[in-house]
Amino acid sequence: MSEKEHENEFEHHVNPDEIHSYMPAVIGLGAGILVATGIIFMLKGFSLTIGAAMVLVFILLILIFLRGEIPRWPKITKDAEAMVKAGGTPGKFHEIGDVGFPTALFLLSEIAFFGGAFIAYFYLRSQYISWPPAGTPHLDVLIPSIQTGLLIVSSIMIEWSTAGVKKGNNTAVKFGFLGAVILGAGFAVIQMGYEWPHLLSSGELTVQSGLFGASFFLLTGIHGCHVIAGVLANIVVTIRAFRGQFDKENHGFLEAAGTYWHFVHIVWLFLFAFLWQDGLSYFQVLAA
Amino acid sequence: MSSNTNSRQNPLQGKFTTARFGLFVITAGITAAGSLGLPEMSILDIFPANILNMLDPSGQIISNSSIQILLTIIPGFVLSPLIVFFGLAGILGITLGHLVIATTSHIGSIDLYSPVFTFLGLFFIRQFKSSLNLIGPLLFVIITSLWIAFVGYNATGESMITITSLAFLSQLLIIIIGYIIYLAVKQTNIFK
Repeated sequence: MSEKEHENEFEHHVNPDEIHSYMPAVIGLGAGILVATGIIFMLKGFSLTIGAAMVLVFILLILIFLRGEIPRWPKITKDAEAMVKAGGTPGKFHEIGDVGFPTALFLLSEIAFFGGAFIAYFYLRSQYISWPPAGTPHLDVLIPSIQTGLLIVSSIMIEWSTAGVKKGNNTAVKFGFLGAVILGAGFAVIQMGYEWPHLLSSGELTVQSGLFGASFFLLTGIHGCHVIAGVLANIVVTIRAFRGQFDKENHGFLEAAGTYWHFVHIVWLFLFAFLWQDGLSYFQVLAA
Repeated sequence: MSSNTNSRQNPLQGKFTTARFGLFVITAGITAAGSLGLPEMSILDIFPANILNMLDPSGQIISNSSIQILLTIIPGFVLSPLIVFFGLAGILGITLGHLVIATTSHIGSIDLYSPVFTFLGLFFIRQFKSSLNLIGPLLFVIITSLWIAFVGYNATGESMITITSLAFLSQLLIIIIGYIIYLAVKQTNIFK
């Protein structure tokens, strides 16, 4: 199907004006201004009433939004289904073979998030003369090594899928992401189902075990949440792949999910170096 | 729609792709994990004692703990000759992997400069890909061994020639293994 035909098919099913809404921006600003300010007012004890009122105004806005939106949902869902069947997503769906600007922006926000977490970790660490502090147990590198192996293989499988979708190899698309889901789930299970319970139950390392313990669980925890989010995204891609919803021209979501997974992988390498191998500890004396 | 309009709408069009990002991450992962996860191994454990004795008759340099650390093999460097297939994404990936390893170095903060020389070496492998494919790997070995020797000399004050020879052998060994893998991969046409 030519590009023009694709666009006609898309416009035949959906009126692009109907899928535009300012409400997400309004809700975002509302959450930022009303809720954040309201909570500050309540927690800091400025005025409980004004704080609670601000939060209530926000809830009211959400309800007004839902009141207007809910009747449109069946039509939007129907249009979306028709749109997927027509082979595209809104916008210039032929040009999303690359990662795309929105995904890149999202990754930048993630870099800022993890960057902030690492900066906080190193700032707190700099208060100590030696690192890890005396009495901190030496963590076994076997488990993170296995986890790194799982991430490497899962990234390779995603590469296989990404290359496959551009060649029309549907088997690679389906089973590449299915493999990544299994390996990613394995990573999360090893971390939250084996390593954490083992450390916590033995008392070897807990959240109360000083700065190292708190940092360890915080950093591996936020990374673990990202792994779970990545696995969920990969599950959606796998389901869509088995339904045959990706082809050479329409696979933007597959690429975005794959890129996100690669990002989760690379953050892990730094966690491995900093938490298990005491990375950059030679700056410790200097910093203290 | 023309590609000119595409790039105006998406400034990263054709530059930042999932495939390239994936290659970058995978090469970084393999390089870092090879050293962080696997047991440390040095050429001093592999090479026959008579060769080592020939290079260092007194045994003083070989027994130095800093030299032993410096001569630890980075298994991820076997990927270096494969840069010919991976391109810039692979170069940056291996460099980042080396940077991650350098953060855990027992030598000290000077090791944080090592990835710069790895990058240079890899860059030459990529630059000389059209010739016999041996000039690049050889330059990689020379550049990285000279840097290791410089660090070793600064850390220990021992003979630079001996350290350079040991470092050269160490890097050469890993590149030879990588080159054999490269030849095998080239036969399969997997990256075509």
